[in-house]
Amino acid sequence: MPNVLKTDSRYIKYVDCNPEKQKKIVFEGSFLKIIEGSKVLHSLDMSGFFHTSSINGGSFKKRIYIEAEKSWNLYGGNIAQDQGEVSLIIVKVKYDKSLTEDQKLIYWEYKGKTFPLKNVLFLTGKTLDHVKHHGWDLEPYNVYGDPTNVSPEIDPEFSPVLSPQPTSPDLSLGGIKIMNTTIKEVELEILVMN
Amino acid sequence: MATAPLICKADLANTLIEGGQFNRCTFQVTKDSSVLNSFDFCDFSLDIDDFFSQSLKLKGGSAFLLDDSGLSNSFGEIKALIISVKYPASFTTDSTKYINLIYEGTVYPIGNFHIWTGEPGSVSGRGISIFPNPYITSPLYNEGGIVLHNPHSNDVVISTIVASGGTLGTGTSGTSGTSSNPTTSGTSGSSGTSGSSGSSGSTFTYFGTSTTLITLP
Repeated sequence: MPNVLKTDSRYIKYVDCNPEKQKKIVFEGSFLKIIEGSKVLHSLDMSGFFHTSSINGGSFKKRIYIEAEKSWNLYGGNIAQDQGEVSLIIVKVKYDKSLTEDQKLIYWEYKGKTFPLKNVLFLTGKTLDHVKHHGWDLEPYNVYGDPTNVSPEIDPEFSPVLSPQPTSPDLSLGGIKIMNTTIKEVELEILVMN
Repeated sequence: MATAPLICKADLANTLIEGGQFNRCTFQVTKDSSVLNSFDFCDFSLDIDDFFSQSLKLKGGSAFLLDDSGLSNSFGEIKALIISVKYPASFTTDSTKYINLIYEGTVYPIGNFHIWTGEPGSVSGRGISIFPNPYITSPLYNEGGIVLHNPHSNDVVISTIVASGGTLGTGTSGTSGTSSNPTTSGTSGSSGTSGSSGSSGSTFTYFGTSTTLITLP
């Protein structure tokens, strides 16, 4: 009988001794599922989901990279309605593999409030063409620091450049500032619809 | 995959409109048969510890305080919040298909779907603050807590998933499940796991579901 080949354990790089124990949220098929190994613990049917664009709106997709400890501002561009609102924002984050799970976290700021962002952000609302309604305000404007501060430092990166430049905080305007607080560059994939 | 609705405007009769929908695990923005943009969720995976899901019919004008079911950490934070909203046929205008999410004293819109994710850890602010300060009585819950408010006169159906995770684990708030709510009807039970640890804890009068009608600023 010829020698029976066996796995040399020195060459096993990744082993998951008990994959059944880890619960995960995933998209599979047309479902958002919570799984534990091969078991589906819960599912949310997304097949009936339809998010309507505004007649004068549209969509854009971006892939951007934010350096460590830098930030980047998301604005609505020309698909936003007159006051800068959009009806859907999706952000997906990819981290450097050298980061630990605990380090894989960035933040987003909207109208002076800061929120955590692990790997996905999905926001929806409803807009109307000519008046503010119930969308997400991506009108270009943002400030650093405490928004209640009477003279906060104005973010210099306006795109497009505002004219005249705002000189005081106006939280009626928006934009989302995404802050990479990790020690490595992060990759973001962003979809905006209106 | 959902079918794009037909719209009946005089100038655009029987035109397929532009919109976003899931084609398996890819979110596609389509117009007629063209795919204008696509966004891949097939590689999305978020490790969690435990979760709690709930479906409820939220009556017009009523509000609902999300229950952490004992899943939040010592800062009252969770790892993921997923909300899906379905509007009945009585919502005839697309622009009215939104509800309000009230978080830390501020009102945000939800159209039909919402995902927030964080990574609760050794300091506050890394997760989603779902457990309200027990001494706050304001319906705006400006120190934690998330209220869903239906500002319309018609009912909406809301599905929520609250998931724990992160480095500090779960189980400090010490309640589980939800109570029935006079402002909601047809609250279906939760699925999910047996889930949370958590001690017996004290029960606050607002905890669980809320009967408070929110007056928006």
